[in-house]
Amino acid sequence: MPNQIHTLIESCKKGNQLAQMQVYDQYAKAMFTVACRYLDDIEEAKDAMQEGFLKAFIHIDKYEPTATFGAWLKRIVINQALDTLKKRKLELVDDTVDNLQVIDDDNWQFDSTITKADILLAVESLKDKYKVVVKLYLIEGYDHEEISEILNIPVKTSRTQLRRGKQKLRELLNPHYNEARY
Amino acid sequence: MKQDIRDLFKEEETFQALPNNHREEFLTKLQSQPKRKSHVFYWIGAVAVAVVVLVLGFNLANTAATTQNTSSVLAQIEAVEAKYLKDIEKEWQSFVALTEDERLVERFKVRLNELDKDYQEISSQFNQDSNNIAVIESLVENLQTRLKLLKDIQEHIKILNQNNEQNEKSI
Amino acid sequence: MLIISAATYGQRHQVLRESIAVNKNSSIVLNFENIYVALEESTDGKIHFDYRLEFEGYSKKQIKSTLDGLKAEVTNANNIVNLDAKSHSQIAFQSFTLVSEHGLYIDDDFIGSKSDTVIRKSKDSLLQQIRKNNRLLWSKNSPQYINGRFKKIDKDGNLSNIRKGDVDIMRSVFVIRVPPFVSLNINAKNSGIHFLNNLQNELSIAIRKGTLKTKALFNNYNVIRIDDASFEAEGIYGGHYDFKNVKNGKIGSIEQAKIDSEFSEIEIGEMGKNTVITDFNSEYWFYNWSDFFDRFNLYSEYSKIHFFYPERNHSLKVIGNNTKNFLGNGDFQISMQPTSKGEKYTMMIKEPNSEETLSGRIYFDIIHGIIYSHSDYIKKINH
Repeated sequence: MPNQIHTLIESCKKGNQLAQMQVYDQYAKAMFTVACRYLDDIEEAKDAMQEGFLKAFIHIDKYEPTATFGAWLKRIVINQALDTLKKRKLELVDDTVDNLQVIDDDNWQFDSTITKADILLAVESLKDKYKVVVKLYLIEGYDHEEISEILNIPVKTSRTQLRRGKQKLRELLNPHYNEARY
Repeated sequence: MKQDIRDLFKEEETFQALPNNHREEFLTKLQSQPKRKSHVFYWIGAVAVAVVVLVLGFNLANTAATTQNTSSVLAQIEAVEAKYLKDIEKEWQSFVALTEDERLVERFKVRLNELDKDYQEISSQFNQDSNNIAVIESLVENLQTRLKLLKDIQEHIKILNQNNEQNEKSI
Repeated sequence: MLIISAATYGQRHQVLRESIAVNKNSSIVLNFENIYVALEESTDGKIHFDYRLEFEGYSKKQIKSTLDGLKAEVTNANNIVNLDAKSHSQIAFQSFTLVSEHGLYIDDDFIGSKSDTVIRKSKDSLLQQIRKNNRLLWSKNSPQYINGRFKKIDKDGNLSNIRKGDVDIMRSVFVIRVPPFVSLNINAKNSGIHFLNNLQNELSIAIRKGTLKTKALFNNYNVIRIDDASFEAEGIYGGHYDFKNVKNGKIGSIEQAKIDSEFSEIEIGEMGKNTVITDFNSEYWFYNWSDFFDRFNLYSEYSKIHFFYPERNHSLKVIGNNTKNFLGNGDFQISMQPTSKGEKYTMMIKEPNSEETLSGRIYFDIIHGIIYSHSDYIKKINH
């Protein structure tokens, strides 16, 4: 399979529309799913996904096999989705960061009874500025270097936002807290 | 019992369903992308100065090196010119071979001569002012016009000569 | 020459400023070479010339060199007002001098690519294209314009935006205000001429290279020759037009006019009354027809015609030989009179509907031609 995509990419570089459509067919569902994580509206997510493909084809000369094509494409699609959000002037990142030393808290241990669905629901209810960083880290699996590039923020800000977002998640997902509500 | 929730997100997720017609829609978007031609023009000397005049189109051939001196730019332009002239001659020959219409050939000869005269004028301008992008563009535009002229008329003649296809009717 | 230093970064030079009273019998002769100029209407019976250059970032030496290569003189004798405006180097609406050590990336996307499928443009949409393609708009938003077209290249080959400090701008503002009753003779080489108002003046225009952009031109005695230049007119009413190697020609609507053309590409938004076109090897688009266009004649050889059928009742007669007719975006092909021994035959006739009023008759006398017919009307009959 890696060989197949490699040949397709070479054809795409030459502007071969047939190859481009094959690439689209192969990755559209996955990319759409990614876009849906950031954009509620299905039409918006679809547009962002398709714009992402178009951009990828335009810049396909820049693709290097150091990353998988899917990962490279995903990055472009995410950027596109975030651009759509930015257009709505959502405050994605809070620039005020403490000058305190940020200790990287690598603890993501949560109660086992908590399901993926619970977590996704909780993430949705986070403030925008935490939500995006948490999604990029937790769901997409990017590290802070990558997140800082995508959002164009300092690495320290990324760490801080993630820490605060994770803290908030703990509050929302705390079973004792939830029990107390009922 | 605890779990690292990051593990929950490592597996493949089920996909979201795309709206119908998404493929056709994308195909349309793809087809309406403009063909991008990027022209990189590397200039001469320590400080590169490019005087750009808005009116003309930009159709410079792709040149590759980083720093060059004047004579090298000149050599490149001459190479471009040589290639075009060769192609133009080739197309002229195949055009003349393609048609029996003397009047057509005559008219095209006149037109090409006019363009050639233009070209001589632009060339002398270039000799006086070889730093001027506008003049270089005029040169290339002239060459391209001649080539396109010959290619288009041959295509036109070929369409006229096309033999019957399945759908054809004669009136 | 007055040198005025503006309060801002730039410098302004008045090249020419003059006003001359004229009457019905005056004639105006304007000669341009490498000049950009706009013509407007004058309402006080005088012709006004106003030509200034604005420089941003240019050194005194550069400015002097530009001004030295520029001549703009008006003479007035025997009721003929004569202007000679000539520049040694190109002076566009704006010239940019870009400084970039490692090169420039030029995106020539903005020339515009032709799409493959031909669709019928309404008269209004063609007019919009003509109005939108306006360099005056570009000059108001230079940074955006520049960054849309050019980028700097650094030593690693990365692209970056061009900043204000990188660009030296020279702006040419040349306006001539002309009263509506004088005749105008314009000879232009490699210049850009823009008529900002409708003109009723009798025009005799010969331009070679450059561009001519007009609003509506009304005068039966107009004689306009365009050679190797771009031409956009919102409307043509009367006159004789000669087009040679006119690429991307656009005419919003045309009436009562005669066109002689060769090697050109012309789009016509609406064909009006009594127009005649004689052509060799051009490509034409006849998008729409006015309600009562009466008669249209085309004489052509080796032309490509994109013909959109009139919506109203009309007749069509095509005579000639060796012509192909493609219907419906090339799906269906008709070979008309393939033999081409010089004789002309009737190739196609479409009679009008006798019960409806006739909007007009179309005559094509066409040899070695290719006609692309587009019509919803035909599709309805076939399906």
